[in-house]
Amino acid sequence: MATTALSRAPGPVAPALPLHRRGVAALGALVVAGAACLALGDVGGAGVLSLGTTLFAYVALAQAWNILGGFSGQMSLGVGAFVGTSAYTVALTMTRLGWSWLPGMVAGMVVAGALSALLAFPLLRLKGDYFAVGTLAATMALDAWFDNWSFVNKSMGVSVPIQAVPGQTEMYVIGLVVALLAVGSAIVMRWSTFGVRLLAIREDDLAARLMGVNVSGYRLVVMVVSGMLIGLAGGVFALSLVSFVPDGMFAMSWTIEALVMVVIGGMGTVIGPIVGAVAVYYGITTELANFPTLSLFFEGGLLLVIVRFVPGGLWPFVVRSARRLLERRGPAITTARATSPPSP
Amino acid sequence: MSAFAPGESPGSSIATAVADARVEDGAGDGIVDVPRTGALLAAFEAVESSPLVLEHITKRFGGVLANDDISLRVEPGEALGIIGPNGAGKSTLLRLISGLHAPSAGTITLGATRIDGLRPDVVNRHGIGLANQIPKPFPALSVAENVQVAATSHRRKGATRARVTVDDVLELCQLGTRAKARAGSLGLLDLKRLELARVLATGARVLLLDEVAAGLVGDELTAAIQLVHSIHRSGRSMIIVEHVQRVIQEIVSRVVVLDWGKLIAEGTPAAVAADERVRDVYLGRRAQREVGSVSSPHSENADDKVRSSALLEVQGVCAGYGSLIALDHVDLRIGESEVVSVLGANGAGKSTLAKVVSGHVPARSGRLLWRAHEVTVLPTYKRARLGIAHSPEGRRIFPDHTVCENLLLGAAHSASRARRTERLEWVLGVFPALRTLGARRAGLLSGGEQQMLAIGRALMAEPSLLICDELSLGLAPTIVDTLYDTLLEVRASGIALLLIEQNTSRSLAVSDRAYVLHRGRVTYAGAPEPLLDETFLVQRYFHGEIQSQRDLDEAGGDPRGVPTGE
Repeated sequence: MATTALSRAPGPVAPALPLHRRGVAALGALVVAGAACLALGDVGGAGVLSLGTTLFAYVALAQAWNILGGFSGQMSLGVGAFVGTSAYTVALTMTRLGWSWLPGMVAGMVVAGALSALLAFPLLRLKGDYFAVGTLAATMALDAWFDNWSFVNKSMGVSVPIQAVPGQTEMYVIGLVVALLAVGSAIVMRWSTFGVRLLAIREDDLAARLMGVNVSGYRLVVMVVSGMLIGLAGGVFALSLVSFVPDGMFAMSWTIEALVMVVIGGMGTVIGPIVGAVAVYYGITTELANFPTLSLFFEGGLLLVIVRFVPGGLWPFVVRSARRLLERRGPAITTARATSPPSP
Repeated sequence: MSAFAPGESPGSSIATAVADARVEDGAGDGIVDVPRTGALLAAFEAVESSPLVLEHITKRFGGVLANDDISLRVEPGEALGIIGPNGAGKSTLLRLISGLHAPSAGTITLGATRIDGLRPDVVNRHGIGLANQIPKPFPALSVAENVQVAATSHRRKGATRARVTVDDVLELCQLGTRAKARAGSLGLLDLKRLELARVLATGARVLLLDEVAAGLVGDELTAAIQLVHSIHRSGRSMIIVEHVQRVIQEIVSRVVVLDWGKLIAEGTPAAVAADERVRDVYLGRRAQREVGSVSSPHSENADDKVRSSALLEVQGVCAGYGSLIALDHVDLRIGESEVVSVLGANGAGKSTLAKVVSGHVPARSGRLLWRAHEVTVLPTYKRARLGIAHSPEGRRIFPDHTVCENLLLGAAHSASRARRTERLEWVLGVFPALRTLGARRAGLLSGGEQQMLAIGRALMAEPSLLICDELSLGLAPTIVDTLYDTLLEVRASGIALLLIEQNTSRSLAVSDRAYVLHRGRVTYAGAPEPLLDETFLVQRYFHGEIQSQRDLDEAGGDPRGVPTGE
């Protein structure tokens, strides 16, 4: 025991490692998963490539919403604002400035992040429902503005120059990188000292403040990171849609998609949004691509079932069930049942 | 027990215990107390502490003057106690120091730094930590993560890399074994420990403790006092706001008394306790009375009454949350206009029992009979209409409604307007203090006033049974006196009372019968008088009544963390 060292070392308590061991492990797993997806793209045909690209973009979208809503507890209804802004930035830099897709997407990400920071100043004064309504209002205002702004062809929309759009394989890789960035950010934000403080703000911002946490600073950082990630996803959508109108890109449906995916998969977890994106997009949207109404019906139905019977989402449910199965094999089942606290 | 008995040497037992724990004293031979605690404490020895000075602090909330020209000085390493009735401005003062509010006038300085008007996180970084009256854990985070939040928010420039880890803080606060538990699953004592652990982990040199002992009983209280005492011994300054007089007696050297926002007295605990004015505004005359002399006026014929007409019968009720069993085959009877106390340690199942009766928590098995009709599965609102009123723990008033609106909301839905007004008049007659506050927002009331409002609201429904959960929690002795006087009045009007209490002497004094719960089981049922014997009561509280081999087995290992006397 280092008791002598302890007694001679007064002062503040040592912070834990910036990135926790679990975070390092998760990043490692992410690299492996990324490599696997890359290999899958190689062997898969055109179907896998186009499905994968959109799925990756949705994973990024859901994860970005989750970072803001699930980790820091700020429920945003303004996903469309960042998707739209970034998509327009990509299209405009490519058509007007002749940029290629890479600087275009970076510009889209930066502009979405800047918009996030700009919106943060009024929005961070709002809490809970007010924050949500504020983000919704910002999105609607942007939609109305772009609908009437001749520089962006008003409601006619804009197009990415078709010859500058990367091919299917490149799009798959771009989507994968964006998804990896989003999941990687989520991992760093969840399993780090930053993440612990962030969750603390979600749980009780007043108590966090009393513990020396600069709450508005953290909220700002999270908003900007989330906005940038949504911007990246928006860039992918812009490149795969090629032409789009304000009402589509600033739509409420982006928020709803992200929210449904996160809630179904498991809000506040790293894996949950991925599970949700796969379940909703691959499990429902593409399977029922020919019956769009039916697909919406199933999406809503699944959401109801989840909220009613598995309120934490699919992923936490899977983890709980697995843990229970493992426990059942143990001998101490009777005492464990009687004394363990209610499961989270 | 008399308050602040001047003859007693303050905290002798605790002081010795802590001294034993300190290896640095060279008294390390044959220590029974964990020696590591001593080493840890030494590690926490405050580096440099500065005096905290408050000058002419005034705080107004709208028209309410919460603090009125208060000047104070806390020397490095000093423990200052603040006492006073509810609404005196004690918590406000701590909130001003910690930066949660800015003072309307006056200055607060720590050493050479002026800290009034700074953001709470900045104030905290200057070395001031507030432990909240109601623990504010981050419930979804583990205990260790909770402490980590506090530990990681500090990167003081030039500070040497610290060598005290989160684990050390947890160990010091006796939370080592709970490190991985979710904070939301902790019991009250552990929550209080966590609150302290987090403040310590921020590296605070001045600790503001807002009623850290509220709601703790018996051994839990001793454990909490011991922890606070050991933290104080490490050289940290403290301001302790507290109603539990043992804390004041055993830890602080100097007490200031607030009343209506003004500082009215200052001195040693004994001197302040002897002050006439302090007795008038805070301690109350009755605090001097011996518990044993209180007799229960109705106990003689209590048994007959129960047999003749049971208002409520609880038969073999079990209840719980998830896999946790909170009530285990509990039987309880309340007669018409009878006063029944339910006592027990934290986590014994008292509040759950109250919630099962009022319908907030379903009974998993067993039966509830109301005037011989089964109500086991009746929803809460229907039980309320039958006449079961619940004044819940934590008061649960509607803070944005006015006092009057709160009261009217409590009235029966079927009651006519005239009837409601009549009832309102009656309630305001019972609580005259509420009459002048009718138009004020309930959230602005002091703790005592809110408690009156909560009871008044419950009475509006013209109940036959009133359940009061933790009536006296966090209230000044004088206020508790008033509330109990009122309860006698309520009983006189024919309403039966079910009192869930930590304050055993008060509730036993007015009860016809009493029950003691221990880990969800009834360990005593009968007349209140035997429970006035403290050893008997403590035995029922923490060890249960050993009735069978099954009980004996369970008494051996106690998994739910109710502290046993060690």
